[in-house]
Amino acid sequence: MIFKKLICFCVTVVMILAVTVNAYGVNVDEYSENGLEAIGADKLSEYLSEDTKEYLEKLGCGDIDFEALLDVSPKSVFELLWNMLKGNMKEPLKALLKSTGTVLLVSTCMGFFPDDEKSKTVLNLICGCVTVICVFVPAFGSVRAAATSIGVCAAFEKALIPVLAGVVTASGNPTLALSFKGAAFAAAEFIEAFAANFALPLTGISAALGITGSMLPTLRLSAISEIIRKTVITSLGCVSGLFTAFLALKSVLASSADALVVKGVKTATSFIPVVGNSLGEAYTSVTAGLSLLKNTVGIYAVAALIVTVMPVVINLALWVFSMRVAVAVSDLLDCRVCSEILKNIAFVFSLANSILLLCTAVFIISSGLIVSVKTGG
Amino acid sequence: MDIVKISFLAIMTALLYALIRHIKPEIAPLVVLGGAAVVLITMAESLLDVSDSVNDMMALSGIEKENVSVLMKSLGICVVTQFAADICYDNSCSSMAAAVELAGRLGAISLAMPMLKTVAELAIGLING
Repeated sequence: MIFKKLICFCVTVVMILAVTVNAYGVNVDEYSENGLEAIGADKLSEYLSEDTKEYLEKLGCGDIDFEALLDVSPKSVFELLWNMLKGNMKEPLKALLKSTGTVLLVSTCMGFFPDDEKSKTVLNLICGCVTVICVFVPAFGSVRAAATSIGVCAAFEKALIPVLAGVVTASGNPTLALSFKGAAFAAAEFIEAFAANFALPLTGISAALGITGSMLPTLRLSAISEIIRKTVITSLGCVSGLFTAFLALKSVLASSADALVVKGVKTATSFIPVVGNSLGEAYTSVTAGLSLLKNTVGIYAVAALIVTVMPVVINLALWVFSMRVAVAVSDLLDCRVCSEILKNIAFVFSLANSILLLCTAVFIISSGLIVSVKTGG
Repeated sequence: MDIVKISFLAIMTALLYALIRHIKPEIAPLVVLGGAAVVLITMAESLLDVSDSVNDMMALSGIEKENVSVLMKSLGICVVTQFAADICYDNSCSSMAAAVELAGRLGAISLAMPMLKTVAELAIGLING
């Protein structure tokens, strides 16, 4: 009897040892690193400038890592914003001082000829030139920085699209990946070309006409300048709205189509005897892992885009603020020529800022849409 | 600059002009010219002081000296032109006055030509994006 029991025990031990497999817990960090390398996300940072990388490091998300992204505190965000504000404050404040000085000088000069229109016309021209040279020439770099930022964001977005599309395909949304890839790539290309070849040059033309018009009021160029401004603003709003709506609708439709396929796969696996349910669960685990990867990349991309444009946005906003203060000073001193020129300069900055923000918004929304879509339908 | 002295001088010149105009009309404009010259010379020192103060203030606000100097020179041209043109108008010589005004405008614009060029370049830069 004891011998029989011993044999049974031995057979059971042998059976257990023969049929069991080793199971290891997944090392999340290693899994994440390997996944990022496989989809090419580790090369995304190459498209960012050194400043952007430094800001991301300060924020605590220098690397594409979901734990680092989770650890970002509001304090570090505010500290970074404050640093950006401090770093960009110097030039606009200097310009405010300069423009106030110019306004004082110009109004003093104009005070010599209260009734003499002939002398006033010539002095208007010269005072206008002085104002433009003293205030706008040093600030022109900021407008160029806006154009450069749009280019950098578009290049980054173009590098990001294949990465996100790859993860989305792997996680069971091939239709979404295909539609996103095409639409987002077109959006990035179009927005970059639209900003560089249409919006920014038109802003420049409008500003040039506005400034000339304020120096030579008899030419009445302000009407044309106003039409151009309205055209730029309306077309910008339309383009960004259309693209966002187009991407959103396409994503919803594509993810619905993918959800149908996924449901089919899950139903099919459930028919497999014994391991059907386990396979379904395994599939869910894989998609959950890929979802984490996709969201990590997507959120890193959104953070990188925001950090790329934020210094320029803050700089342009400070320029707008300083120019508006200068306009108030010139209105106070009844210096019409300076007031008009400064208003035009403020308009250039504010429109450049709007263009930059709208372009970035399209890029962020297109990345955000992919992040928000539920993986595996 | 003593404004009382200048005002007194101006009134005296005007009275003298009114007196001489009827006795010897050909000398009357010279009286005005002389009076104006004396007023301008009296003002010159103060003008230099004001110019220095403006330059210091503008240096503080960070405006380039060249731009301030162009504006000041243009202002000077306009003042002198207006003064000369007014004297010509007073003596019923409007064609001369117009010529002086034209010369003044030309002088001021030629002085500001490098600035106009910079502004034009900036405008082209803006348009080209």
